[in-house]
Amino acid sequence: MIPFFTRLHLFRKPGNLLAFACLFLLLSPGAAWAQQAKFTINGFVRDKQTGENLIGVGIFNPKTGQGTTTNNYGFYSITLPQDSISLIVSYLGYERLSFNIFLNRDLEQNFNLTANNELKTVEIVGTKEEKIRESTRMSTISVPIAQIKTLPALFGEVDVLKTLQLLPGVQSGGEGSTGLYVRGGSPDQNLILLDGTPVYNASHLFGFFSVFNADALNNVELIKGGFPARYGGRLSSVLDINMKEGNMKEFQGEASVGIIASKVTLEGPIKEDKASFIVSARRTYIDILARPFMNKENGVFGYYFYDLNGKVNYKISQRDRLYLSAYTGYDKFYGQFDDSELEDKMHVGWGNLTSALRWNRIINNKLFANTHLTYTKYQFDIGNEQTTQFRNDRGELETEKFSLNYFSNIRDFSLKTDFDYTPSTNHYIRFGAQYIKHSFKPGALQIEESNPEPGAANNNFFSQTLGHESGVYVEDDIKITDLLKVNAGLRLAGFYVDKKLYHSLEPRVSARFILNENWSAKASYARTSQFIHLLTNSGIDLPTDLWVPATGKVRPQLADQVALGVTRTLFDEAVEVSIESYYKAMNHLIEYSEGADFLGTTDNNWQDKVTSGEGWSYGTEFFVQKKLGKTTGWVGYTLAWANRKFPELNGGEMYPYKYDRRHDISIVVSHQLKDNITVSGTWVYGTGNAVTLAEARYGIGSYNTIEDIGSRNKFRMAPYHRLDLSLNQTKKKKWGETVNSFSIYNAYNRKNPYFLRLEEGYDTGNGRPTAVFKQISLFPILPSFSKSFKF
Amino acid sequence: MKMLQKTAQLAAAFLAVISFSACETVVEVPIPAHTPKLAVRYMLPDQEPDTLFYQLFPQYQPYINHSQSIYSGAELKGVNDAMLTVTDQHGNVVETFKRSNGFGYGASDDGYYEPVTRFKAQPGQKYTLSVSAPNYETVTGKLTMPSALSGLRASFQKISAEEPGGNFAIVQGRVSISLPDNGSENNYYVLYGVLLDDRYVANGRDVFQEETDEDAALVGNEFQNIHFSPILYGDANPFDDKTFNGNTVSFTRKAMLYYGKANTPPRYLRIYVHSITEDTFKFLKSLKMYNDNGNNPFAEQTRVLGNLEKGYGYFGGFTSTYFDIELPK
Repeated sequence: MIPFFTRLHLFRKPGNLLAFACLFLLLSPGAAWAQQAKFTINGFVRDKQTGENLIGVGIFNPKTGQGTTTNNYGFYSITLPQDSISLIVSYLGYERLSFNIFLNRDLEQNFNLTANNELKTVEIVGTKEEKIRESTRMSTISVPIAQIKTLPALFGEVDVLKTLQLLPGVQSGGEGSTGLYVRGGSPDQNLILLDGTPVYNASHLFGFFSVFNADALNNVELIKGGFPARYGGRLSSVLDINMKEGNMKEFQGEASVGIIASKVTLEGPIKEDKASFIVSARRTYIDILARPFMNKENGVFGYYFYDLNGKVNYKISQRDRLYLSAYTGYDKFYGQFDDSELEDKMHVGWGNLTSALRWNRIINNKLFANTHLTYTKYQFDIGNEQTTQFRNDRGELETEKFSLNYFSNIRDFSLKTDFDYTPSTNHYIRFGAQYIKHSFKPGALQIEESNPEPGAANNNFFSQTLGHESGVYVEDDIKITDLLKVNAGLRLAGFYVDKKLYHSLEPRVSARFILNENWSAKASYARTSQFIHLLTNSGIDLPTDLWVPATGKVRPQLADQVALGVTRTLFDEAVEVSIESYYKAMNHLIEYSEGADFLGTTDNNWQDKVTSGEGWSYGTEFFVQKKLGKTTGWVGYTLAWANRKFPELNGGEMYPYKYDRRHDISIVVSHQLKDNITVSGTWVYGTGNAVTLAEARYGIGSYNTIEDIGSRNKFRMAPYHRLDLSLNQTKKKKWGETVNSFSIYNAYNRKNPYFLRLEEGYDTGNGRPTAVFKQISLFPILPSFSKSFKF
Repeated sequence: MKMLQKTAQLAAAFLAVISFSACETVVEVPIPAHTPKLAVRYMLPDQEPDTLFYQLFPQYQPYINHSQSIYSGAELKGVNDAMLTVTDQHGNVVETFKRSNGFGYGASDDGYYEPVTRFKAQPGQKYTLSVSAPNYETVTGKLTMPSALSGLRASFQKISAEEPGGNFAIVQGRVSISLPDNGSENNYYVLYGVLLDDRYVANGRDVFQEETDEDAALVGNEFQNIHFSPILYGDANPFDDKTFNGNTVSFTRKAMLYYGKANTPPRYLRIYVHSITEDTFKFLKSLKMYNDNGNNPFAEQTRVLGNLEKGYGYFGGFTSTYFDIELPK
């Protein structure tokens, strides 16, 4: 049981604790810097060719070891003593840059780095160039988009989330799924941010692709634990994805044609070095390709999805910059059945709409501010339209129409301001505040009839719940000694709903201690709260899952996570090794009660369909990564347990979480055969998902047979394993380059389980009735090809 | 309801698409070997369980079946050689049973029993059911009979009457009920309506049936867990007093009365409130949910909650209260 309020006397009033934290940060050892003559260098680090801001670039003084990194907008600020200094600006995949100066005044200095076209690799570090051994952050992964594009892909569609699933502590839900299950948490516990805006459903095609078009992305970072205080609102992970800003120098494009989808990305300056844009679009065409082969008498089915990304940015002044970005995507499955009397159309669709307006402001050379106004919406809908033609008693042709649309959505408006304050190289202070207005419609039904029955009318049934979420935070990355560095922070979160105010005080701390030249030890603790829930079917994950708020009856989710780990580097930092163990306790989780479903949820009766309980997960993650050389890659292994306990489920007994996966292995290898040819392969293995199956059946009356479902999630499906291979061949052209990508998904044609169903029949040998479990598998071996063009 | 069914069909079609390109493989799931157990269904009444009683409430008739492995597709036939006894809290046998036909419409004959002594159980008293049969472990269940309800009131307001084609005439109306709940305990109920002739006898053919009411302004609309249970077919709709504990709950429900055109119209409507045990409530509620969700691929799996040791099913008990309404001519 996790207490909701801390019991420490000093912390009874949240304001006291926040004030205490600020005082601690200012009085901590590093505060001695204030008494010496120092000057500040600040500015941006950008890609020389495109003008794109670079995130996480290391800027350090090799003489003293003091340094900093650029933030999410490429901004840095470093304060150093008056001296002759030589700054190194370093970023993986770019040529190092050296900057020498006698520092005797404050200075604004931008750096433009030249790409060296070496493959960037996945970085298990706090920031990209900060060494894994030196960073205070743990459980954090940055994935360069270039790396994602070299790995094998289902149907040739490269996918950000699928790459993340290859890392320890991150699991996929099952065959083809892009759902992320991080350290025993559920998918709703991941805060997925696209340019700082939450994306509620990151899946296309029933979960087989993510909504993120890799061509439009700049940076991907996943945090599995030890969350900095600036992030809040979810229990298990933060996935922070930044879109490209658009080339400030010249117009360029990228397009690709694949088996099931094509996409195009265009970017360029609106006004050179002042304003730029990027637009990106992707659409599948399975429906169009399949249509000629369909027999219309059996009905016409189709499925497609599309994504549209757009972003413009404008430098108002040297100190101010505006970003406007938007994303929309939609999946639609549709069917149509026609005969002479009836036209019957149906569809199932779901999609996200996000938009963000951001304003960067350099307030002074040590203080950077970002104000963020966002809107996000996720909705799924199921619709049916029937048109019937018939002749009335007088022989006249009449038409009747009936339409039904069931939908569920969540919408957020958010205003957030974040500040980055770098008073010295011993402190990196962040603080800020956020307000989110959530609007939930868990279920709505719209019915229209051209000739409604007497007493019936065209009707809309729905309910709406508003929730007001707010948060304030402060955190500091403090260098206490050369060996000990701590990131300490505090977040105060509140949620007002149904005339009830929930609040949660969340201490966050992570620390690094350097043991010797190669080894460092790390530890972290984070309390997190979540004021929204996702009601999911315990069988198959579907877009029909309902987003619902904490209410007067249903309490917010809470978690406490501790993690301990060691890291080391080998072979002159070519190889990194990390081992992390974690323990996470979660409270006030919700599940559907036995027998409940989402159908008919048109008002707040969903609260009567759920039950609340607890969860625990713990495990150890091993990670070995080779970062340099012609052959790169990693091996990850996770040994983990994830359990749940709900008083009203499974007779109140603890049971394994559906995605409790004892063993999870991933091996990723990428090899540069020639300058223009890269081959790669991935192999994954995971313990089979836990399932609930009937063990026996009995009669309880004439013709009333009951199946006895045993203990919840007692059985396991077969283990999941799969080998994917790919080859990328790049060809230079006068106008740019082409990339031919060949990939084989599931190379040895493993029949991986998707779900099991019981089928009753008769034994063909003796004619006796019998029953068997049948395993449904989705994807056999799938070779694919795609061709990309860069111009 | 029609809308929800439509939505369910759409959703099922959606699910079918997921396995559009799927392939199936028979897999061996290591289900542990199953030892067959007895499955029992019996409701101990506080009134004499004569033949007419079981004709009215066939779902209360003692029934014995058994279990088998999920891999066995053999027909589950009722057990005809079982021995059933009910004992009181002093260990005295108060009821024994003999084989019988099934009184419910369309019921098979296998597995049904009827009481020999027609014992009337007493509210507040404890009873134990024991069922044994060759090749099965003996099954036992215990209960304490619920206390009786007092002060039940009801009325009927006729809306219309019609005689459509066919053999039945129909009267449509609304039943208003006032049910005083005892606040000192958790109570569980099942509500029935039975049509009686002028001698207060049910003929077993006339039917009282609750209908969906479109009028959202009706009294007691907030108590959506309270509904009449069908008499002859279907599963009971038990409800608890969580939303009105200790108060008198008043509600109105729309109803249809069906009776044979050739017969005398029913004279009385008897409203039965059966106070049931908590275990009975859990069993009936989960059984109804299980049967209702049979074709819904989106519904969570349902566990039918029994209360028997070493067997499946339930040993339930009820204490009956009724109020007779004279029907308008």
